[in-house]
Amino acid sequence: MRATCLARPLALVTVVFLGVAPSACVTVSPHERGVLAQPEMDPAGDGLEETFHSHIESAREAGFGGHGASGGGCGCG
Amino acid sequence: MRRALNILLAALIVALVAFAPGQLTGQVGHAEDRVTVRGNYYRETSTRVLQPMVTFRKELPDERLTLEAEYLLDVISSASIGAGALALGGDRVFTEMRHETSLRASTKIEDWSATAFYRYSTETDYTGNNFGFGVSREFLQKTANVSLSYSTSFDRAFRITNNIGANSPWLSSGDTNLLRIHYLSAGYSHVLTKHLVAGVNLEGIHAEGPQDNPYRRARNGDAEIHPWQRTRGAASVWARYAIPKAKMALEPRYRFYADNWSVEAHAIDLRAHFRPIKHLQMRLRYRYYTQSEAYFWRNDGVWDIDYPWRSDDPKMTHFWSHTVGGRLIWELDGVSKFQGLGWLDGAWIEATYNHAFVRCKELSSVCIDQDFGYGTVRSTRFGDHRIGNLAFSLAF
Repeated sequence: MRATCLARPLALVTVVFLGVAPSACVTVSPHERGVLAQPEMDPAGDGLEETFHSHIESAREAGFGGHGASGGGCGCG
Repeated sequence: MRRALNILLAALIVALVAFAPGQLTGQVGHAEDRVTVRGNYYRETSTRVLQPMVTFRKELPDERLTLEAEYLLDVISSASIGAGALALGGDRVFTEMRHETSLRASTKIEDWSATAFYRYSTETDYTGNNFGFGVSREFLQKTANVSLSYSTSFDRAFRITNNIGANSPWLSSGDTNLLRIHYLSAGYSHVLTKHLVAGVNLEGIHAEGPQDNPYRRARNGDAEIHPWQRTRGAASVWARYAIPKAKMALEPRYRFYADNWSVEAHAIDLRAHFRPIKHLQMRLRYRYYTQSEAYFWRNDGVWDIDYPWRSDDPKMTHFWSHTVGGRLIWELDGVSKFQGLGWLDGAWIEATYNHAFVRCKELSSVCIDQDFGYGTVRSTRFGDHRIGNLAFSLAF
């Protein structure tokens, strides 16, 4: 297995985490979260649509979709 | 007197069952049960997929226990060119179906959430069993979230051997048709300002078993044989930034992927969400994807005679794609105020369309010049494709 397989993703996350960490303790008060409560700000809001896109991407791209292990082949891979 | 006590006791039990759940946590939202029907559509040069699905969600009695059941049907037609199904009689149109059912249970208590699921998928030549669980916890007054999930699959691959559906296990280079997959994901998200939320995700996947197409033949006529094991990793970062004055939100995403087949991929996904009027959401999307080729890929289709692997899989070559798309969601709360339409409260209708332009550089058996209606371009054998969705969701 090539060392880059997991090392690069780990490095990327580390860099991002270090970038975010300084502001990580800043707490936004509940009364300031009105905008964040909008559906378009909810990362989980696109779940069903993403599942289908992920299935397509798994069948058409080597980089897998990111929604868990595949639930079966689609006969077109 | 005794009868009165019994009635009082029964009333007390009913009251406890009805109201105690809300009292225990003190912050339980009202239950939202929901049924969603969705039709997905995918079309490329040689394959068309129609995928109706229905999802049923029930909270018992609130978010502390949510059950979800889903059924979907994949109707896949004209797959013969893309799948290289010469063994089945060559380039002819055929249709196959895949049935998938999923059950999911999730719970949210205070700052903790947990979920578990099982999914079963079956089609003529493939069965899949997939189950997993996940847990997450919110910190810092619910501004930070850490999540961890694991799932595993036990899939069985078969090869149809004649035109009346007889099949045999597909063993590839191994001695079993069992494909075992382990998937692990960790995520962290944080509300950074009152307009900005961002997160990182790390995924790892290990697969062991047949991972090639049993019908596809390499350019030299040998059966396609891919390595038996594959270890994959991906890291992604994302953010959602709201611009209230413009009634919009921006959502950039980036994902890096690498595996031990030497494939590296980058995906940049930019999305802009708009709300031009109160109950209408719009989204525009652009995605750029690029990947390198697998170490066993050969553009000329020539391998040393003792080399163990062969491939004619277009997704093993170097290519890139541009995807543009749009989405509309009409929230029906406004309509529900009309007499007789109260049942539409919380309902929505969604329409999505995406068009992917797939390009490659080096001519090979899978990278060819084609015309998709806008001039000759060099694309993979899968080619440009379109993805559409129509959905209706009803809360009850």
